[in-house]
Amino acid sequence: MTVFLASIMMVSLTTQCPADRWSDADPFEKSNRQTHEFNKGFDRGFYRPASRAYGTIVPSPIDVFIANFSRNLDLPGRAVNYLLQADLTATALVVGRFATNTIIGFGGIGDPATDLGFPDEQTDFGVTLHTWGVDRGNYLELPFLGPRTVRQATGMVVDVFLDPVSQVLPARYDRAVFTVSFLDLLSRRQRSGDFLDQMLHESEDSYVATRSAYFDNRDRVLNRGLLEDDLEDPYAE
Amino acid sequence: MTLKTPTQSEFEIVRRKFVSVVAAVMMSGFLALQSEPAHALTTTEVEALIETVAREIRTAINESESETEMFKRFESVLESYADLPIIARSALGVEWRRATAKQRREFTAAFSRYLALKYGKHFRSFQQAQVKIRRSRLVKSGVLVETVVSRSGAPPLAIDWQVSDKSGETRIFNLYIEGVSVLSIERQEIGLLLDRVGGDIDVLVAELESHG
Repeated sequence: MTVFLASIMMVSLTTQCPADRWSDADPFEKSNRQTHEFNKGFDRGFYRPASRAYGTIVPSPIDVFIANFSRNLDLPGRAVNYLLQADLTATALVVGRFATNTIIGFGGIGDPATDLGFPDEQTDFGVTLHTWGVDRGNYLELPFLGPRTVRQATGMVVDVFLDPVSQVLPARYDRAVFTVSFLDLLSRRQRSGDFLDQMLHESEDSYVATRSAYFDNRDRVLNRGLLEDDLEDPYAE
Repeated sequence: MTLKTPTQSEFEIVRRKFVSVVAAVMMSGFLALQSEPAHALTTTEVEALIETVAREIRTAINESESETEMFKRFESVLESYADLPIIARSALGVEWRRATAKQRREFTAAFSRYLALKYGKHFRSFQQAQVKIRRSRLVKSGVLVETVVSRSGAPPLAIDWQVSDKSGETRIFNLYIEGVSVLSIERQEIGLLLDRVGGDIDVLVAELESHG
């Protein structure tokens, strides 16, 4: 295992990040649009009403506990990915965040790490593949899950196996973990944490709006911030 | 202790050194003038501006008695701190060029109200939000400030602000919500709306007004 990790880190240290801008090609557009309509219908018919119901039933402090607990469980998987990306600082910060919230935050229902200034940034195996130089592949809109690239979708599957939480926790807790993340999902929708999605759904062509927003958002995650060359400059026009 | 009088050659060395130092200072001053705009925007100045704006939006969300009042307050924040003319021009894209002066004025006004309503609608869920500045940097287009908006129980929201003084005043001209440029969302949106109304800017203005 150590040898495996070491060799992976060697590879990631020597691979240059490719400039992978998304070209306008969207060969799956036809089926993607069908899935997009399905997702919008699902949002209207189930996701949104269910999250509203969740909002009325679950009292606010409990809701915050559930959300914190669920998001704390994401951290070990993130740490593994930062390690695979050979980013030791980010790994240490995620481990620190997890330890702080688990120990001082009563098993993760509190979030003292945020107040202490630990960053909370997204990463996943899709990002890891990017740092290894893997191409992002075509654009997909997946049922229930929404926009992905082939690379990110592949990463999601790998993340399930890489996740230390699912490796360490006995199988009998699987259902509990699943329930908590499901409730967290409802909670996010209800707090309109995904308010961008909401806005995009109201757009004139919500498929195109969602797709372009996805790439902008994903680029920021991949590059850990905006790149100067990508910034708007309306004064120069 | 003996005082040594400098020889002619020593004077010469000092003189040469003096001349070269003066030349170097002048040269670097000249280069600095070349590479920086007349009034250089500083990150400190811009960060203070963002803090003020965040505070005023917070007040608008928390102290408004009604939704209408909140929208009004938000609209006045936009008017005071955002470069609405350039935002409107950029959102209309190439069509701006063929618009008459009257159309440009009307579009800018209607578009500003539409922005306040569209984005203000989502503000309710940000009542207890905290805005923290992470870092800021000078870029070609001005200053970019990265902030994180955190609310308990919700994932943090990354908001990056673009500020410029090219209009003559230091103003915000774009936001990135989780990396997604609001200017780009609106350019796409206005483009699609304009297509739907057959390219008629007057109808577009009426459409935008009816959104409110």
